[in-house]
Amino acid sequence: MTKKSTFEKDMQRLEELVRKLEQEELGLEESLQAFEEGMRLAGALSKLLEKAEERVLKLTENAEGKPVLETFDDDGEKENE
Amino acid sequence: MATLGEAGPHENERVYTVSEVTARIKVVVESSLPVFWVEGEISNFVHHRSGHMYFTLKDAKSQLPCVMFRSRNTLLRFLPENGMRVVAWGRIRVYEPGGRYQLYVERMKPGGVGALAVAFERLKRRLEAEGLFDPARKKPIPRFPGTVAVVTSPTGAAVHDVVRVIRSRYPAARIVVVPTQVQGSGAVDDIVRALGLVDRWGEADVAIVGRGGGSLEDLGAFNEEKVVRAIAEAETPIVSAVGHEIDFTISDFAADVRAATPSNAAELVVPDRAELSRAVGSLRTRLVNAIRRHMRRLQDRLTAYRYAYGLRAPRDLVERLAVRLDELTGRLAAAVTSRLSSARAELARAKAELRLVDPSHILARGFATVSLLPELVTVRSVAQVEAGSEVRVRVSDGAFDCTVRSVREAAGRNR
Repeated sequence: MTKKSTFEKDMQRLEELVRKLEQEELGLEESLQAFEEGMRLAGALSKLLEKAEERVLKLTENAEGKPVLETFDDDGEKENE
Repeated sequence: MATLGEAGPHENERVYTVSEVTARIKVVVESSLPVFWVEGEISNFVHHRSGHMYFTLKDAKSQLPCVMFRSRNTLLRFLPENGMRVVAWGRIRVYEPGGRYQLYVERMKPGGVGALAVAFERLKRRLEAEGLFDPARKKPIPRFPGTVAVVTSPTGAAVHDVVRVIRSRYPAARIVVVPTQVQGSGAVDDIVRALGLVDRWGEADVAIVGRGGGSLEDLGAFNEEKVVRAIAEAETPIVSAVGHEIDFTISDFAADVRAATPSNAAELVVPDRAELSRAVGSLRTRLVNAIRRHMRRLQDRLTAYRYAYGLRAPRDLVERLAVRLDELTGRLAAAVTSRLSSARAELARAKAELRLVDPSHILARGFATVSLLPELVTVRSVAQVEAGSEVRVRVSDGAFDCTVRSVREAAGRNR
């Protein structure tokens, strides 16, 4: 199982763009495109890093053995609803 | 006639020296007994003032002289004494001058775990021989896991440690606890079931499997063949986090990565957000610097045109463009995504204007350049020519040579 996260792919793409731009392999129009894409990626990556998953989940299985996801009650921290 | 007991060596029988015999014993003993664990009871214990420990390990029938040097015995977490049962790990060395052998102890633990330790070694060796711990089998741990499964007791310290560390380092990760019994009679089957569930679910990028520290007995489930196999065969990359720093379980060898503690496992599976932010920031800076360099080159080209062609009107244009490019470079550098499109439109305009100052375009618009023959010096002033001068006029598709008939200065100036 070697699925790569969005973050990893975006990071690799950004590294690649920076490398290309720095080596000046690109024409003006391409370099501008690379710059634009790079800035967009950097923004998306920063946003992704700021994202925070609040809940901790719990994985169990039902009577048929099907996976079930629920909120995990960290002991002592019961949900008040 | 000599008695049988006094019979000497036969003529062609080899007679060894004592040293030769001892050397042979040394080779045979030391090479056939590499490092091993041995269990026994301590007797004749002496803690010499040099810091080294000398003692004998014995069981009902035999004795084994031992030495544990200071450099090793300072790491002991208990004080050995006579009558204590221990398991010691080390190698045999033959001391030739004295014709004695000794166990050089590297590690030692209080005993009582003897039988378990033996079973542990046996199982470990068998699975190792089967290739279960082969490095080629290890699956890579993703650098940026979206979902981390935590296979452990829902009430133990391990789950708290893992959640705390992941939240502080990399809050973007989704943490999914898979409640599992980790000790007691049902633990083995439950861990195997939980690992199967994680694979069946299929959304975890990596799974931490473990529990907080405990005695060798407490960690028993992780030394069971069924659990070890389930870990080795799991499709999800597994990080083992069993026990404490010093003890390994067989599960540790089967896991894709072994962590010393649950907190340590959490640190291994998720990257550090602060570090990543710095990495993204530095890539952004490099991007901006690189585009600046590109813009700089554009400016240099403009400057080159300015010097190459002294035509009045385009020269103003070039200067205006150079200023504009300067501004644009600054804006691009500061640009955030939303402002980029307007910066780009401006750059496109600048480029169109740049095309206009390209010499071939200027000439296409009806301008011509004049140079003095035969040196081909560009003519910028009427002062350079007089009636009769030979000049070359260059237009867009070629050039023609002319002779100057008369010279007229601009109005208000006389020659």
